[in-house]
Amino acid sequence: MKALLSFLIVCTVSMNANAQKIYSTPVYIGLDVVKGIPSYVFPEKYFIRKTVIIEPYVRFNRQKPGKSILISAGFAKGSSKVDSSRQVNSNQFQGIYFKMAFEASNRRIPISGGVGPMFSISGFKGKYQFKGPTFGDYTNSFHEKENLAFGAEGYVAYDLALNKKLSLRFLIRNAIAIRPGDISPPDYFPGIGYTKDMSQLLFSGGFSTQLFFRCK
Amino acid sequence: MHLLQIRILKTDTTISPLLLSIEKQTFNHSTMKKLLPLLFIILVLYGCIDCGPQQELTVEVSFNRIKDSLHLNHVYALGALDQQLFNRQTEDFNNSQYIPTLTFPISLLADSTTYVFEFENRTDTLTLFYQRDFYYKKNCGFVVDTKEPARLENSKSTFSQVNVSYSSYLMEKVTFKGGIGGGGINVDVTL
Repeated sequence: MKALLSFLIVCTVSMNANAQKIYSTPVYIGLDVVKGIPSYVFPEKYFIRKTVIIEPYVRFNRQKPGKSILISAGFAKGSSKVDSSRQVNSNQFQGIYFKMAFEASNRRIPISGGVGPMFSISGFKGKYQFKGPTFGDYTNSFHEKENLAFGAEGYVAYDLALNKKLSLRFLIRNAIAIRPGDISPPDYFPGIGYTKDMSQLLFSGGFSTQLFFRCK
Repeated sequence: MHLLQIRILKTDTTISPLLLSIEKQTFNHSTMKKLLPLLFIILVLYGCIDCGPQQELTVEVSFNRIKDSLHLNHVYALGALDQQLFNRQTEDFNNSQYIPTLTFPISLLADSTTYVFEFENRTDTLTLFYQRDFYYKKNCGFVVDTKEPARLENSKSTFSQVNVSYSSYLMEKVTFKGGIGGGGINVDVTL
């Protein structure tokens, strides 16, 4: 969480320092409003359970018309489905991730498309158990601190203006990430959708909704 | 490709190019049909990995009793919650001649397991030492393996001679016949 806040502060300071050079008004601050909800509403059907996902955004226009940059830093904390086939009987995770997207908007209709890199660091702790029919079960805990994932995420978004300051953004997204780590997933938290989780790759397509506030 | 070359070389040098191409096509279709399942198996095997044991481990104990045909009344392990498996091993020991090989579970709760053998006229004990190794294996989950104990002695026993050999419970290589390695702990006991 500290890293997340630091990242946002650095971004804001950096933007202010170079205000004239890299962006022009308006600047938007946003928050994803649906990502964590399914893990509470459908805990049995969802891989992650009771997971808090905070994903704030900063979006600012570039000097070129119709072009903007989106920066995001997310934080997730929760637990995942127990996988008895892997001897894991409890798995809690916590992770942060950073995303950036170069966005292009249509001038006539409020549709935008963006693509950019993502980087995720996550940690896990939980318990694993080996059944011991003769001598009794062996249970121990594991704690993996730094698992990395990196890749890219692209999206197509539709912006719905609620009033002069607020707007809702509905987007369809697709992410691909490389997971060099050994430990069990999740190490990136793409949100609602279908996620194909392989040993070293993650493909995830889905949708999301973000609430944006126009600052300037 | 080698087969194809041999067949072409054996054909008459006056053979027309049309016949050669027919033979080539026949080879391609029929051979490919035969090779496809083989290729599939190779691909499947190439993709196979041995996860290793994900349950209670066992040791193979071979008894050299050529000079001593004792009847085993009972065998049990200290700290075992379930003795049924040991009862079956007792039967196997008494039913087999020469060198019976029994399979005993080892405790994952400690780095040693002690077995007590109650024969007709004597009682023997065998304590095996090992090092448990639990770790996470990609695509498999947590697995357990053993290593040689850190201490000097591998075992403590009242038997006249005990030899313990250690190897990994994980196969070194997955093959058509099953795999190479993965034998785990083996014990040779001379009564």
